[in-house]
Amino acid sequence: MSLGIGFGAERLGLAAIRWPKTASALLFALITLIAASLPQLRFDDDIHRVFLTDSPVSQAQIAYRDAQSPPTSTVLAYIKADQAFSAAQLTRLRDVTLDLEFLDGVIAVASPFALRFTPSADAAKGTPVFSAEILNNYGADIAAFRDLGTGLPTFINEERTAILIAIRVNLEHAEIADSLPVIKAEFATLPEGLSVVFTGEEVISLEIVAGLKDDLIALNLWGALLVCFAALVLLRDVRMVVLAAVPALLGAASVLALSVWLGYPINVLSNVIPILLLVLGVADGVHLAGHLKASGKGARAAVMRIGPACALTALTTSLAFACIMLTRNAQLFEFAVLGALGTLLAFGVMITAFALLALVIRPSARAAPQFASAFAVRLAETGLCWPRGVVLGALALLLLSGIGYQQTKAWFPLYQNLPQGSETVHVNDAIAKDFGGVFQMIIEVEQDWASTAVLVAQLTRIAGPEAVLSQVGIARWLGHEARPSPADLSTVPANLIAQLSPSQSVDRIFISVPEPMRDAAAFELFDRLQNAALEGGATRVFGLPSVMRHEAVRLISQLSFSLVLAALGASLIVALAFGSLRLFPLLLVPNVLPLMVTGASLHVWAAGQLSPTAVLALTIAFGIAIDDTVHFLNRFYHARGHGETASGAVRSAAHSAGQVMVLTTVLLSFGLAVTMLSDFFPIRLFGGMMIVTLWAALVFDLLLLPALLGKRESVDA
Amino acid sequence: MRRVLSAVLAGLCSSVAAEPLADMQGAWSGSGWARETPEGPKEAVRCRMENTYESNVLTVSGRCVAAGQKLALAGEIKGKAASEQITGHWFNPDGLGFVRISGVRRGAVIAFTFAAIHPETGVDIAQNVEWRVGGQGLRLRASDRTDPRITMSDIAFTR
Repeated sequence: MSLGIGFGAERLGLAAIRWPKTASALLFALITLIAASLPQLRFDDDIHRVFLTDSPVSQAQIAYRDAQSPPTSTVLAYIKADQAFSAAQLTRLRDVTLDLEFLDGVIAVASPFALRFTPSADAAKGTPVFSAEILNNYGADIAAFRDLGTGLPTFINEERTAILIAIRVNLEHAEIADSLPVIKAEFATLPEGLSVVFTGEEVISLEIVAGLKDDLIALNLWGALLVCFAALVLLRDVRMVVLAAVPALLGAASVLALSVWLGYPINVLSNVIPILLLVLGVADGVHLAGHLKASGKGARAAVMRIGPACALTALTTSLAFACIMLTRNAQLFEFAVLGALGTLLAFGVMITAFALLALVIRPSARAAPQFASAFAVRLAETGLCWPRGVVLGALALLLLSGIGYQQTKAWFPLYQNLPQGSETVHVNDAIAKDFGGVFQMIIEVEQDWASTAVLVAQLTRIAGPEAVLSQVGIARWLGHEARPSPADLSTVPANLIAQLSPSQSVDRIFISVPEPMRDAAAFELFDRLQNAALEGGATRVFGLPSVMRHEAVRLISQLSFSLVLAALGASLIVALAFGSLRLFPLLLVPNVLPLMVTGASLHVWAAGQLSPTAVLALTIAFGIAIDDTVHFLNRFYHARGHGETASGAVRSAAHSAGQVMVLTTVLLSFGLAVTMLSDFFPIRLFGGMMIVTLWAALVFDLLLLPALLGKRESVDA
Repeated sequence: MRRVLSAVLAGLCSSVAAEPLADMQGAWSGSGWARETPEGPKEAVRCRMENTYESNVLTVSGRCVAAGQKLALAGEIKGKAASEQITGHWFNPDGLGFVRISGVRRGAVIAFTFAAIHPETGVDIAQNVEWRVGGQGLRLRASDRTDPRITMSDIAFTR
């Protein structure tokens, strides 16, 4: 027995129809399991994982983090004053920094109050720059410290209106989520005129995760409501809405549960999978319910007739996800596995639930809205009437949009993953302006002292004063030009020396930099620093900025490769499913074109930036775009099988499948429109790109497929 | 009534005067300044102590921080029955190490001395120390033994 275009997957629905009691019991058990699993959903709070691959930069970063014992993180408190700090304000701030040292888990606190002048006979550790009683002329002491020419950070800006306090915490003692509120409490009673904002790598992660949790709940809830509402308005048939929406909702919920079963935390990327599968499920549900309504032949006929196409669309979408597995990125791999398996699971749940519901619910006899059918038929007629013009126009558009897509720039800024209106984005910019930046670029050198000193001087020229922390600066502070001896360094905190000189042969240079992809200037600054480091003999350049700068581009390149594979693979599967390899090139054009158009549209609404999210959206969108083609071809070949001419079969497919394609595109657009409410730009971008792709896919499928299929008839004749 | 109040107040005063070590027990937070050597600069410090008192012995445990430095404090001060004399030891693993102390308690004050050499500079940092307790406050002042005009630390604690 032939498996058909759905490779037999629709038999799941047929089995449910044959053994409804058993299927109902199994489905109920699964729903119970899903409901029990949802409270255990986890959210990823490690921003490093988004970027890390198996490249040398990533490996250096992983090795550096693993070598930190205990694991630590730095919380940055940025304190801003309306005008130059008064002595009284500074006295209070110093008390705060001292009190922070009492907190369990706080390893060290760096602030202007920790600054000391060069050690002397009377002051073995150096006289504090801020005396026990801070006077209003403290600026002279800071200037005197700067005059030492050490280049070491002073943590107070030139205007004396901003102070940076770096609090290093032991992550073994407590997670940042637990220690941050305790740290914040110490700043609760700041003097009037002062404000504080907290940032740092883990603090940013925490903020992203907190926003993500709210977003996930809101998106899925509103997405489901919006799809149901739109379905109700469009279809004007409550029973049909139930048939289309309930199975899809169960399918989407099953993906969330799957993430629990697989042990994968939800992150900024996988957040969109449930809503994506919800809209896909609704699309399939509308196709199935539409056939049930139009044919009046019952559940079995609907599953047998439309189920294979739904199964094939699930397979192509699953394949699109699976292609992402080729990227060597842990988080993307999980995204791909969750998406690929989730699509199949959601299909299984959807087709079973639909089959069972269709046994007891019959859509009303009221006709479906005709605007969708009219729109589809008009487009198909245009394709049939002017096949050459449509094909040539499509090819020209493919060329133009392909060039536009090629002009996009690989770009993955972290700040865009912060919720909209986040104070952190602004404070990170302020820290970049006043203190170099929030992120630490790490340069390791294994060379003589003189060469390292030259390199530090060069890096300081590029990064700006007080942005570079090195043992060369410490030596200058000690009054040495040569490498300081261990005895010389005894007055310097041991943990600082351990960071700057991890072994006898290795020196580390830390540079405070802004996020490399914050803007073009930050990007150029990073590249200049990195080039200077490598030209100056650096052995390794790593740190989160390096990972963000390089891995993002590598990631996008790998994702683009996955996109090509998804396009080729999905087209091949569909061609094989319909038993004609000649379909393969015919499938590529109408399905690649929407991708290119959407990719090129990034110039209009995303400054031409091609982020991993954008490529992911394109990859998944291809899977969805080809769904329309599958449903169209399914009806086309069915009509051909019943003796219709090619143009007659096109008209038949446009009338039946086209109508549902338009309706589902409208419904999917409503469902995806909910992403516009997201606080996260990547999710809004993802949703927006999907909507553009869906409409482009619809238009090109209804224009181009008739033109190409109609041409086949003339060629055949 | 006035007599009763006077008697209560007298009792309170005598209890403070009789055993300052007992009144020094409990949790204390302090701030002030200190210097490492007689010629050294004053540095702002904040301290937290958790003292216990049992069988005429005050056990001191706490931490002091100056900018970029943390110091653990530990000590034991023993009072002798029917005597003003106190003895004990002081332990500061991050700085002075272990030092013996001896002194007197009188009224609301304990005063003791210790001899020590600064571990990094080798400078004699023998000090006279005075702890004065009253109401909800405790004040710690230390001066250089060689030149008592030089104050080494002055930290005011509150509960």
